[in-house]
Amino acid sequence: MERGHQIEKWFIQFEKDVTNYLVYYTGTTDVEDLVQETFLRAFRAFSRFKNESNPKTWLISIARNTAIDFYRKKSVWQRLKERLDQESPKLHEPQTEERLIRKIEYNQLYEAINELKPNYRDVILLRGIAELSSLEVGQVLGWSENKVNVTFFRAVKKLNERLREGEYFESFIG
Amino acid sequence: MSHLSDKELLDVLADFPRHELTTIQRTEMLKTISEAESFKPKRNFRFQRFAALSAVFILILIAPILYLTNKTEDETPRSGSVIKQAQEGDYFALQDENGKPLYGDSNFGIPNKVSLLAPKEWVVWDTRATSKIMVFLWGKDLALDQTLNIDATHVETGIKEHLNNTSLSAGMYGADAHAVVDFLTFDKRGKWNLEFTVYNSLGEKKKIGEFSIYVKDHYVLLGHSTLLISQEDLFAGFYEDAYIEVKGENLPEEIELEIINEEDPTDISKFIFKEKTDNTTTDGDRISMYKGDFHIKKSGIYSFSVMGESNIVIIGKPTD
Repeated sequence: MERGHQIEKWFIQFEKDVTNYLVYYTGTTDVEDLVQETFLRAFRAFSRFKNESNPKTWLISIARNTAIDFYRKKSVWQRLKERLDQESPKLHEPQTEERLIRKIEYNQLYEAINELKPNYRDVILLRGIAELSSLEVGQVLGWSENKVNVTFFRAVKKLNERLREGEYFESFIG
Repeated sequence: MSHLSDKELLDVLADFPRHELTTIQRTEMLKTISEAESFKPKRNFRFQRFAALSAVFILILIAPILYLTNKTEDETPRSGSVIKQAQEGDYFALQDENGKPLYGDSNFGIPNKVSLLAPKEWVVWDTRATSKIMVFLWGKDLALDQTLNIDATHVETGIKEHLNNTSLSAGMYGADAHAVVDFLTFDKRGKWNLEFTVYNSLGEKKKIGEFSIYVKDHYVLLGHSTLLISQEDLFAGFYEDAYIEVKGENLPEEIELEIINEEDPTDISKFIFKEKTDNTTTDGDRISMYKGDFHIKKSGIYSFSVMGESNIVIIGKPTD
């Protein structure tokens, strides 16, 4: 199959996964350019795709790199943190276009995830939002499966601490 | 429970609202990918020249046959034929008596030819957008005894609709003439060419201009209620300050929008719409408008319901 047709097929199959991941990774719904660039990069790099790999994992990996490049050297999560720091949620409602999650408890969880260090945030978003396995997350991040599992375990532990600090634990559990 | 386990976290994250591109974005992107594919290295010059010469030779052979075949066919558009899209209209400002710009964000058409005060969006079957539209025309020969004729052609199918005939009124806002017209509603989504012609008292016809508009798919129709969002704009995501219009009298102060996931009937969401405002339409019908927020977590098939009346709505299918 020609690479163009293959990328089109993957676009139809995985566009939603890529878009959804980029929205939560960047913290904005304005990801159209990033999605397009992801698939164009995949088109250009098609010869480097290994057939034994999962195309979704490959595309998520490209999407993540595209977002990182887009935000250049300053990491996305730092930008997010800065923005969250600037806005007191009690005094100011988040801007409409930036409000990814309306359900308040989910929003709080998402904010807590964004406050984690980049490695923890990365592994949680890849496991939870992109719905990749530990092995696949390892392929995206260039880690061993064991490292992914350990990092995820620590990330969840840290997240629990943050959630407890926020005293909204009961709102989405049980 | 005082601890979020790994699995619980993954379950909660899987339940987060899903985001995806709109159908238009998706279509444009697919087009871009296709174009990337068609951008290939140049072929050998000799091969190109040979191919071009062959094409010209074949064209010379079949041109007379095509000409004769076409001549015998009916000239009226057939279902499925494609009409050439008219010039794209654009927004431009009119001018008040002092030369100050007016309606720069709603006056739509072709400068110095024809324009209209366009609604926020054109929507299939929607009379709100097509009543009392002000049309402006430019031209030295325009006179008050002339009649404005507006015809619309659906670009994709070639279907024609006669929208309105009305007399011209005096010029205003910098135009040489104007008219207030009630359009017929559009019954197909997509591009429509609007053609504006005037007839004088002798029946002589003169075309003033033609431009295209885009008509969106219809609103979410729920019996007496209408969720005022075009179905083609409904995707997974959040909708703030959405409006539901309900026909009828003695309506409650609040109504509930219920959204049921048809693929998972246990997935039911309910949203309250309030801030009721009452109106009477030009036809004398009583209507009330309610405002509220709602969200759709992911694409799929849903049942939308208001005051016991429901309809199926398909959200964000990639093959739309």
